[in-house]
Amino acid sequence: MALDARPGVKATPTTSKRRLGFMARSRVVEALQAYLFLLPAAAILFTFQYLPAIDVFRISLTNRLLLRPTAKFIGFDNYVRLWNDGRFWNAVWNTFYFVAASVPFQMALALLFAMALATRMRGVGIFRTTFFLPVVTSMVAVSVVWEWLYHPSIGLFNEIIKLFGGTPIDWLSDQQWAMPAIILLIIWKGTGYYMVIYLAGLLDIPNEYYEAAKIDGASGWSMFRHITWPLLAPTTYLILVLQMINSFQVFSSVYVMTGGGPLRSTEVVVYYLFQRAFESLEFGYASAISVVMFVFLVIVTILQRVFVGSRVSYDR
Amino acid sequence: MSAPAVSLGSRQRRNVFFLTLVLSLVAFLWLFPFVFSFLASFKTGNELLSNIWGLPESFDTANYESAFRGMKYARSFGNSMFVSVSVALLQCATGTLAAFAFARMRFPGKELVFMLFLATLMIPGTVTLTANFLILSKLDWIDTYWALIVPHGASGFAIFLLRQFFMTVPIELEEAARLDGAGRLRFLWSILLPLARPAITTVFIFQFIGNYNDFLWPLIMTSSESLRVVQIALSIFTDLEATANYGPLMAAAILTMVPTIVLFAFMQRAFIRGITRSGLK
Repeated sequence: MALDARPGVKATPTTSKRRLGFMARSRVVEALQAYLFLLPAAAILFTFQYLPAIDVFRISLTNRLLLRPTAKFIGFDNYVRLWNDGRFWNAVWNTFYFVAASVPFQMALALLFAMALATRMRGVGIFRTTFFLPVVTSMVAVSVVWEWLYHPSIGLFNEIIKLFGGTPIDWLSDQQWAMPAIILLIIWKGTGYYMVIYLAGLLDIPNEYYEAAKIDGASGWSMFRHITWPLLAPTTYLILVLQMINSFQVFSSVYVMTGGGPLRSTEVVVYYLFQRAFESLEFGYASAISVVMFVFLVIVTILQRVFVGSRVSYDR
Repeated sequence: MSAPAVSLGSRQRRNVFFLTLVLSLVAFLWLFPFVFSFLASFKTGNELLSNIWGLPESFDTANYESAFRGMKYARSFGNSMFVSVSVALLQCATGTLAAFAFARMRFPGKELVFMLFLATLMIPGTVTLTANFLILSKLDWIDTYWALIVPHGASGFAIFLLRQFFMTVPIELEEAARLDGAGRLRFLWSILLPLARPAITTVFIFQFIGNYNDFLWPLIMTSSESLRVVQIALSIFTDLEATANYGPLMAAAILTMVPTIVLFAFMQRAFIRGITRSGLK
């Protein structure tokens, strides 16, 4: 095809020199135009994504304070300090606790909801919307609402407990209960999001597989075990990585409901990072925390890619 | 239900009934915080203590009035709308241009540039906060609308989603338009954009809701009262009303939630499409 002719490369004798020149020029014009189209997005992504992602490494090697523009290069001192910082490890522990407790529950619930709603039953639309509603509402607003629900004396959760004759819980001011309380909120808030992704995955599975299995007399469980679950594997891994990345960055609910308390029992990594950067204004140190988290999350993402690459089963 | 050829067996009907019952119970649990915060938003301080489960005595709007004043809602809501609409529009504009280049044009380094754009999705927003703050300080944008809008004006997500859509539009359409003498921009503007309306709506809704609900970024990048977005106004109002005066607080929370819920109610399909496409397979 003439459009694919390149100047100087395999020019057929029938192509005149003039035409070639024209083609080459239109090629250059097209490329220039393309770069122009890319420029606005590229400028924004470079300035506010790549540049800071690289810069955060540099800042983490300095003793930069927010109110002192001159910073000295101090090598890995911030990382050494981080290694010995009990408050950091407490935040890491709290974050892992949060992730380990919220991710499996959200995942299981999301799958259950999706399977219940993948049927062609009356009213599924209403249920879908209901489970999805918390996803579109702001974290700050629902945190304010749940703070009231958790209130020790006038909160509805304790009223329910009292109704069944239990002893009220001091939810957000109890070291044991504050984190579970936040986890419960997050499960409620986030499950609908993953439910929608699972639903899309479920609807992608061809119905013939189930029909064939039914003819062979397969039970509900064995159909789930041998058809649904393996075919959903890519979706499951995708959800897992999305959840991990979201969960490790938990912040707003902690900020609104507990402020990291009581006794730092809900201080998660991003909250601690926020405290260091914008309360005590230690930008160098806060950047070191950022870098550690960054590296960790990138590893999580890459691991997921590797897994998806090797685990996608069946011929689809 | 789409009428089945054979009527359902009694066992199957029982299953459907049972499933609906369980789902209704769970749905009630899911709606519980919304329903009771809405009822509480009309209750007086005394009523919140004495009449915990019932309907409010009157749908008195006193709580809403104090929430409206306390959050300076007219201003903060205006700020939120201005910022979120600007971000969403900017995303559509930068996304469309870039997606068009990736889907329809030939240029050296295309694969590499596309990979670089997509890779931004792997950069978690919270880890670049300190560096971004310093960049915005250098630009002298801290505590301005610029800081709230421009940095969020492009995303790998929007570009990817729009590119996917543009690639489904048959190439013959473009060739025909070119034969009729339309330039590339002309084709993009008067043929491709109208066709791509569903995809562009998805990007718009997604970015609008995400930006409206964002809290950490405006918390860090702005400080003056005139720039407060709704989320910040709500959080500050919560701190001021610390004496457990939950009536006005619930009203404030409802005022904050309602815009995205209404938008979602009307644009459900576009929003869900955005999520199912975020898989980036």
